[in-house]
Amino acid sequence: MDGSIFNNLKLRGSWGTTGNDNIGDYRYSSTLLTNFIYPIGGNPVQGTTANGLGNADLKWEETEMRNIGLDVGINNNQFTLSLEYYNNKSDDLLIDRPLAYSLGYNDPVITENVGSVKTHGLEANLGYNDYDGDFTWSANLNFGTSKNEVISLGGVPSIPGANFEGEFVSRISVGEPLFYFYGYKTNGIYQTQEEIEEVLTANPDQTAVKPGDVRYVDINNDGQINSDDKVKIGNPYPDFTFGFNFNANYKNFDLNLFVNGSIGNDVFNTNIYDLEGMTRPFNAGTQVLNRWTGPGTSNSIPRALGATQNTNASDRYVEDGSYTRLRNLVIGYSFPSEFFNDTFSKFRVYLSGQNLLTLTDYSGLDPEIGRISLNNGAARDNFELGIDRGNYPQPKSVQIGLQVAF
Amino acid sequence: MMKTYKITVIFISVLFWISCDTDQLEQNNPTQLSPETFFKNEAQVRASVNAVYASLQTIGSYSRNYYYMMDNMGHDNTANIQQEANKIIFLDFSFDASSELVRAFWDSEFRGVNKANFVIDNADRINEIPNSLLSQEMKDKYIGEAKFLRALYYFNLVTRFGDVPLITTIPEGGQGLPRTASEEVYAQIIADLKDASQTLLPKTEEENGRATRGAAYAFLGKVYLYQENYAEAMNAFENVYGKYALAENYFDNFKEETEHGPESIFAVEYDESMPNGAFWNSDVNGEGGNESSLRGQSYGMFDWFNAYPSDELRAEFEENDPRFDESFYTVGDTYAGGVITEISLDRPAGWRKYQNYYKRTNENLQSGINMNVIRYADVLLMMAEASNELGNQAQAIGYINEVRDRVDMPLLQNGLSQNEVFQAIVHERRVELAGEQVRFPDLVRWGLAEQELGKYGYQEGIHNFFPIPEVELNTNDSINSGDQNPGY
Repeated sequence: MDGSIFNNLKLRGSWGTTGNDNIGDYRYSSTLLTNFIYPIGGNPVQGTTANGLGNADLKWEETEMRNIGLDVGINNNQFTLSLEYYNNKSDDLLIDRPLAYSLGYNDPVITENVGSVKTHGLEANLGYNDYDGDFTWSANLNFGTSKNEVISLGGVPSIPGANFEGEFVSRISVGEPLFYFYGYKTNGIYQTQEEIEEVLTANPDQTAVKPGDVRYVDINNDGQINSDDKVKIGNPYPDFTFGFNFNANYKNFDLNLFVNGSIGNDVFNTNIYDLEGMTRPFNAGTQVLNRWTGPGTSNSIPRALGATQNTNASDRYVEDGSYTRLRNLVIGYSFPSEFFNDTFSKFRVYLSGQNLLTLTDYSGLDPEIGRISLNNGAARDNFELGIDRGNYPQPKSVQIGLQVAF
Repeated sequence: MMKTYKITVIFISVLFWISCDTDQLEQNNPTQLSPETFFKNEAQVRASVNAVYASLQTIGSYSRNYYYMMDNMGHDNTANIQQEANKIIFLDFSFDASSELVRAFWDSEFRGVNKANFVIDNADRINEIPNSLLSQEMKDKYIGEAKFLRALYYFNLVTRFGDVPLITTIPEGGQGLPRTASEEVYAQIIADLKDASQTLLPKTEEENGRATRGAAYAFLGKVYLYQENYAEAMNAFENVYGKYALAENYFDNFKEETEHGPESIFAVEYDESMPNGAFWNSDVNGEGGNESSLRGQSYGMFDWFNAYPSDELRAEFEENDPRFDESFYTVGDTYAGGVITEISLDRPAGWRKYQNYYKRTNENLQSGINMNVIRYADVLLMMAEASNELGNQAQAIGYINEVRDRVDMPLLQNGLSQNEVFQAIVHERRVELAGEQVRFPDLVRWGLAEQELGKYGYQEGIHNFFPIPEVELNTNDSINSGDQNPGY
């Protein structure tokens, strides 16, 4: 490429199939559990029973991956660009499907290969380097989108997961993104008995819902609120994610800065249950000071000790989990070697900070929801995506350091 | 040529030799027991039966939620404000299919059924154990215990949910089953109890805590009574009558020291000296050490005091009925901490039955007092009811008087009408069995629930059953929202 400004120009594509066996061991066979104790004849005697249901037909999940990409390097890689579009299809998805409760198994899930999902997205990476002069710097910006859609579940309309207070709050369904949040849509608070009677017409003598309780939307207009009125209330996957890395040096000073973020993902914030649920007359968040206490007082926080239905899975728990976070910041100064009469080949002091700044509207402790491992089998955790169960937040930290080399 | 031929033969035979069938690839975990290799000796059979009992001790069932749900619905309880909302809803019948307690009860009872089926469905394996290692009588006895418990779990399910999936084998394939007509469920319960009554040991020969022959007959009579088959109920109860006796002191039925006395027929066992670390994790699974009850802590007036005996319950007691003071504390009564001078929140009374306050000043979270599932006084009153319905009022009055005589209450005189005897039974059951989870099912089967509980929100045709829990509808393809109980 002599004479060209391009030092790298590459169009690439690939196709392949990979497998995923990311599940617990021995899931194909049933085992016994000997951890049941009962007092018999004055002694704690031990009991043994079948733990769960094995699945002898279990096999690997297969992903067919297709991508096409463009790599560009200009002016000796002073400017780099990388673009990639991918379109993957996974079959025989490994999912821990909850068994019917009436089957009574101690381990209430069966690991199964259940259908297919399509994932496609775009990744872009933009880089710039300037290595001339006293001031040198480089910057790197990456950006990614990823959309997935379940295209079949082997005849089953949907599979629920992630039990919270007796309800499944996430699920997978054909035509929807994986592990979307599921529950009631709300429309404020009932202010008067008349408003209730307009909606809950199927059983006018019902005693549960009173003025001050949450008004759920009767999706199917049958005059009662039950699980048939539950709909998609959130998507744990972001519209896009990004990262920005910046390095600079000026004489003896150096700087590194790393920012990343996620935009458009929802979080199911279970902390709302404790903070705003008001199931008992103590231990609540300050927001309940603004609760409903009579017609017109609140259209968002229900009455205290109200209907238990107020805490049902609904969009009250769903928040925008978008964030931009200054993940890492380092500022350093390297003393010239003559400063210490050439005793050290390097003598650098630096100040570094992690998670110093987070921009988010999320009300919980940390918008970056780690996954709680509920069991050994990795697949089971999938339903937990984006569900904040009071996860431990990432710490904000500042360090002062000294780096010495002889 | 010959050489090539030989090599080919060897090559082909090697090919055959290295191929294998999948049985060899799918090995069971050698470090874990598997169902295929179990049931080889008495210890294993006994362990499989012990596990079935463990499902009685869950928060979803007898260790916590059951007494809240039943005592609240029957209005033996009034709730204090600190009682959790998910329990208070059983006082005003505002629960729906998303109720956490209904879900946990359904889940707990079916886990008990599954554990019982693990024993019963493996009867062939158990019967293959040589009789020299385990006698046929003992094999039958162990299977009988599982059948008794399966009947108990199914009785709890069918009385509270109506039609429920009837599962009598180890379910395979993971597919949920549709609801079975309750008549069929009752038929299975009766068959199980009949079998158990033939194979279980009498109380005198059995360890405390295990199901006995008397328990099977008592329960069989109760099931027939619920079906209004009074003749068969009496036949079953006759096998219990005279084999047990009323405890000399009424309160002995609710004390740890005397809980296995002559009146005890079947109870959920608790012992606070045994492991309790897993109590709060034992929502439904019964795993680990959870050998105590939260009853004392929950209701106790010197502890959480979530509930106190309702005004209507206290008013039901005749003047000078000693069972009033044995069931409740009021100001002026004495407990382990001395004389009670006041009751917090200015409540008129607190529960004494099932509390440890007779021997200590607070509950300390864990109670070792057993929860009676069926005791002899209950059986006597059920015999009175069956006799009365069969037209034998004199006999019925005799049974009632046995119960009244124990506490020195005036005896009923002969010559009462059938309805008068029935009213006497309604009264006597409420008083004798206060806070023992029988009032609500009694009212429902007598058709009196709307009359007695309508003012609190009870609606006949709806609240006589719980809703099928929403999570069951979510996970069971054979039960959808169109199959839900009416009104939910």
